[in-house]
Amino acid sequence: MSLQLFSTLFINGLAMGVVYAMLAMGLILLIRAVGILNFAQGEMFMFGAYISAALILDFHLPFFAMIPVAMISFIIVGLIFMFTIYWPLRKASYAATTIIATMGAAIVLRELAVLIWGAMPRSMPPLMQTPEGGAAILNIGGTPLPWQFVLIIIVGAALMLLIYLLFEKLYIGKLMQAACQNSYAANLIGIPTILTIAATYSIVSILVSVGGYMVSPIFTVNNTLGTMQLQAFAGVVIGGFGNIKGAIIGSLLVGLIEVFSTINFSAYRDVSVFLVLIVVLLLRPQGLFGEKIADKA
Amino acid sequence: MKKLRNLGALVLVMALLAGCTGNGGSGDDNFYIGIIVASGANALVGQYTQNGANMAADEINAAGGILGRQVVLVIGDEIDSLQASVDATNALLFNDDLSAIVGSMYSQFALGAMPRVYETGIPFFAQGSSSGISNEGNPYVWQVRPIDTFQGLAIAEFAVNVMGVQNPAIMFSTQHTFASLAEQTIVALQDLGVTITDANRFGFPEEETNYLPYFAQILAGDFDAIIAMANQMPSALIMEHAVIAGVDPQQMPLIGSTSFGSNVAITTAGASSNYWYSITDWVPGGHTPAGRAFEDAYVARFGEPSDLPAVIWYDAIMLIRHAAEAAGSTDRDAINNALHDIRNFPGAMGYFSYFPDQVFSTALNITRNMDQQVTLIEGITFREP
Repeated sequence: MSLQLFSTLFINGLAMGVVYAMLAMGLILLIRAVGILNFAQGEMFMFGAYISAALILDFHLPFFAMIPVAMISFIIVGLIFMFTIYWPLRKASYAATTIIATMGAAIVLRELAVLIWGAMPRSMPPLMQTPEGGAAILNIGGTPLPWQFVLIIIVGAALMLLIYLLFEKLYIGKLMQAACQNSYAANLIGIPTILTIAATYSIVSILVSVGGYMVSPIFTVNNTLGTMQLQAFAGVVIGGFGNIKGAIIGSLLVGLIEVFSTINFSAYRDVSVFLVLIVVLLLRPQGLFGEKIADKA
Repeated sequence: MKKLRNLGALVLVMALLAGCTGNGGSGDDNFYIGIIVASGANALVGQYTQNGANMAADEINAAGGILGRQVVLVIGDEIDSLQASVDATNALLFNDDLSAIVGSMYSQFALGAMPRVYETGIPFFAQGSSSGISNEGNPYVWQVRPIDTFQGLAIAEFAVNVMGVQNPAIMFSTQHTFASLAEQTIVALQDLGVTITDANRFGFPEEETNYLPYFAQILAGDFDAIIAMANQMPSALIMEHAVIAGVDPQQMPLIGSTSFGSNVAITTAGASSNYWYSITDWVPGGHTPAGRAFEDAYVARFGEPSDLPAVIWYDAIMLIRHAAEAAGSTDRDAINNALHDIRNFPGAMGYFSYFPDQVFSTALNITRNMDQQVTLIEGITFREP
């Protein structure tokens, strides 16, 4: 394999890994906050792409005006999701009730997108364009790399770093997590858990929706975008359930495995990802970084 | 008491659901045709399907119906999965009112329902293009589209004889239909003297969304053309990603299966769809007077060009009408027998005739996408109607 081919595939795999990592990180944050595995995360990702497309293509908002409007919209979607799916079922006898509700919500969101925006996929302009309006290419040492992939890596990594610092290093983030995990104690000391949970849902919604927006120029805006959730699940399991660092590394691995397995094994791309998943589970059932979760739990 | 009430509610729900499928036998004077439509991830296909079917039904009803009976479409929603498709098709197969069924556009879905079709003995139009359907030899199953045997040959002949291709990269979805089409194309290419090895094959899962790694490998090889086979959405992404990856269509001819010339794929891919050749079942306007009449009526009614699912549902219903009127009966067996007598029927897609493979189609189109529109280069008659 030439260096040029390797570099192209590596950047591609890394960008996909970052997208999966954004989804995976959102999953982990919700698991930690409310103990719920959100099966509609992919559809929130898809909704982010649709909302961005509506603001750019229908309302013709310039980029810097679109960003704050999009952020507010993402937060509203997250809060609607929280108050219609999680909140009414938070005291259900079985945790599975809410999980199944998120599965139902995924179907509702998919069909809602078709009802609102139609079944025809929407093409989004890339963030960096050629004068002719095509996707701009970054040329590094003769290796052509689509700018959109480079931007996905930069924006995704920056966003994840911020959220990681918030939840893992800052007092306010730890306070939010603690309040979510023990609402009784939090209420006793005067912290309204509804606010901390709402803040977590808002952050998760922004994270995954930005992911949806970033990938839309490459994959178009359509109601199947949410299927990327599956790879994020694989990343979470490989990295170790409940661990942010593990989920990110696991997701990056999934992205790279997926892309490099197209060499010679292209028809078995999905098989290769899940083969690695099975091997990891056999050798290290708790995932690559699973021990820390056990400690934290 | 509570258990009894729950049981009562359950029975009521079951009864309502059974009523919805209309299995009871309506006993009225309508002519019922079951149609499978898609939703969910395949909602766009479902929309075109419904448009084409409604057009056919309205046109027939405006002309007095079939044997004086108004056509009523009974809809089964296959959503976007095999299980849902088989369930929806079974619901139609159990409906005694139906005289014929127009089934799924996806070959593997239709194949899943075929054993039950044989048991019920109802004329069933499988709308996929897989030769696997025809190979089943089910006497009640019919196809209006050219099956992959003909498509593969047409793609190979165009690639080699017209474009001078000798070492193509073959990208294909590993979904049943396209894996089968790829194999047929490869056999035809080899018959034309082109050597195809594993290095030429780039299979990808149907759910694939990232084709850039495939193009990176193709550009790193010494291929002289790309032949791609996929459904509409993957086709759109393949065309977009070819541009992003830097594939130069002037240096490397780009040839696609039928979806690459579809309205959905071209609209989605935008300018990236330009320069792609396609071997298509349908090009808006077709290459016959009936095709042009269909397209004019479609645009007048829906305000946009038609696409393949619309025309194949329209043609299938028109064939059912023709057979029922020829048989002078709404009886399933009579209609099925009359389908054997179809000769030179002017469908929108081309002229249809009965052949022992129970595939009516006789023609394909070679097209090229230019200025984000599909342009007919040539109609090919692959067997005399």
